[in-house]
Amino acid sequence: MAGVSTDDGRVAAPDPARDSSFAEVFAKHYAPALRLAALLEGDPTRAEDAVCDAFARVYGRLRRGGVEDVGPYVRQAVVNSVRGGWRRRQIERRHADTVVVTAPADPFEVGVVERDEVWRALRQLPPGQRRVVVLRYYEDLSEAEVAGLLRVKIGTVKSQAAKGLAALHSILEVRDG
Amino acid sequence: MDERELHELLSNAADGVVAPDDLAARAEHRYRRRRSRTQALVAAVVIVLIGSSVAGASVLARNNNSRATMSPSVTTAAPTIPGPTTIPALATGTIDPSQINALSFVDANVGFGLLADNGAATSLVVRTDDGGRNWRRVGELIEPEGGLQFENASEGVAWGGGPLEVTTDGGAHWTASDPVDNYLAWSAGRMWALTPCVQSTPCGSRPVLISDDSGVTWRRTALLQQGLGEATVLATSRSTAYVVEPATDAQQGPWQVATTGDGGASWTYKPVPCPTGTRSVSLAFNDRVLLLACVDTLAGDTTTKQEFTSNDNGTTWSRSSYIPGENADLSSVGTTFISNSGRTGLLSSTDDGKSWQATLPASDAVSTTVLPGVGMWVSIPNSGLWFSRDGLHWELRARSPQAVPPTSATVATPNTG
Repeated sequence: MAGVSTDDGRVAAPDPARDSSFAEVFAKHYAPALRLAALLEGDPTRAEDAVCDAFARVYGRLRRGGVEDVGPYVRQAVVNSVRGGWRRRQIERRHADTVVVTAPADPFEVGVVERDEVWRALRQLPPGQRRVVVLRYYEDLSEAEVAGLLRVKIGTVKSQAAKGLAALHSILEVRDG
Repeated sequence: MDERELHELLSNAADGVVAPDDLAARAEHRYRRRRSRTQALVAAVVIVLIGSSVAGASVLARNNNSRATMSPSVTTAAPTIPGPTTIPALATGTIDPSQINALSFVDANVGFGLLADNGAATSLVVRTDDGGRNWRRVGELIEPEGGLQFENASEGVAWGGGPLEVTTDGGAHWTASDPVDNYLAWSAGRMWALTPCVQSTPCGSRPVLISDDSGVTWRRTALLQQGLGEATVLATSRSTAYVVEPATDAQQGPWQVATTGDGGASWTYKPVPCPTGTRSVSLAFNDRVLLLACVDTLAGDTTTKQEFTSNDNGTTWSRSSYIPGENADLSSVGTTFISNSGRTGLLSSTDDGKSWQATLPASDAVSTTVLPGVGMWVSIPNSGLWFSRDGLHWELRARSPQAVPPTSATVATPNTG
């Protein structure tokens, strides 16, 4: 089996114990992380990249040790990865004419109309509001915890949550007729 | 729709997200394609790591047995940062200065601001050359940012939504600066960037980053011993800065202030008396005393803002008062302290925080900036852009097209100068 790249770019020898530990973390946290990333992005197809990015950070951190509570660390890594996703999209945009894009698999279950409407509503929110709404109302975090994760002031969280909630309400109200 | 219904809607939508069986193969394919075409994909290392790990393979194998023998990959590619983004010439148009969500002035006339654009998906960069009366578009950011600081008419940084972005041409072009987080302070041409410890792992030591070239390059200070939780940084000169943060990983206290008087070469620590339960702090200096607000979130998201002052550079603190309003984001204009209290507007104190008066009302979150020796600018949604030399007397520099004129009872003393 081949090794993996280290922080300084060298190739490290495989470590079964380390990989086994990562396997457990991956198995336990991958699905929730993917769902969170999908909501934060407003787009499940982008979520896959973000989660891969996040788990690489987790992998590096596990190798160095010191992660006592993996769940919050994975959540922070996912949030950081989603926030840094503009870089990937910028490159994709720049090279859109030279890159052949493979259509992603449909990440939705077919025929669930309400889900599609929620996703469409989420996508209509500005990224900042969407992140606050998802962390506040999907992850059930406190305003202070959301502020810590996004590294913004609590006042910003309050404001974004109120605006996001009102916008979602308005969008979904229109849907309901 | 209440919060519980929203939680159920989001959970139901998220439940429909399933990991494709061929994720690892697609990730590896995508990595190879991007690397060969661009040599610049930050996520590439990560994707291959996932694809190459025994863990990823084993998990995926459970979903798709045909993948059980998938070959791992190896890479030594280093992450790279994309270069400057060329922004096409921007047409001038009507700009509502009341909607500016970040402000920075370099002198009494030249200032910059950020406006949400493209449905708030990006930020528009605008500039004024007459103290805020008229604005024009000069550039655009990729991500919507909420913070802005220009050192001069050319060099500045923006942060708060995506990574910190740097411009050296007056906001026309921006590049990302990776190592910097979203807590910045500045004084006398020097920027300080704090990476607070907000992860629930042992926090330990981290450096503060310093830039003397407007965010282009950064160097590390001596390590700062940090606890878990919110933090704030205040710089009062090129050599002096304060970081208030939890002293331990207990998250809600005890709190401490780390002080440097030698440009970050060393830090000293003193306890601050923020009560148990304090969730965030704000710190300001008015050339006489340091004013500290300890903000606690109570049930129902009501907050209390207990305040303390220090006149010996944070060595000792005495309790001062409570700051009214929804929040307490402190700054100072000369010797007047200002508290941005969120949707209840600005409060001022001329007695070092002992008492507070409403000085500029607002019905929504406002953006503020202070240029030492010149004054303070404030944008209030659907009102306009206001300026004050002392934090007490306000002049409306640009009115919002949707403005509702303030009443004389709500504005302290209109100043036509």
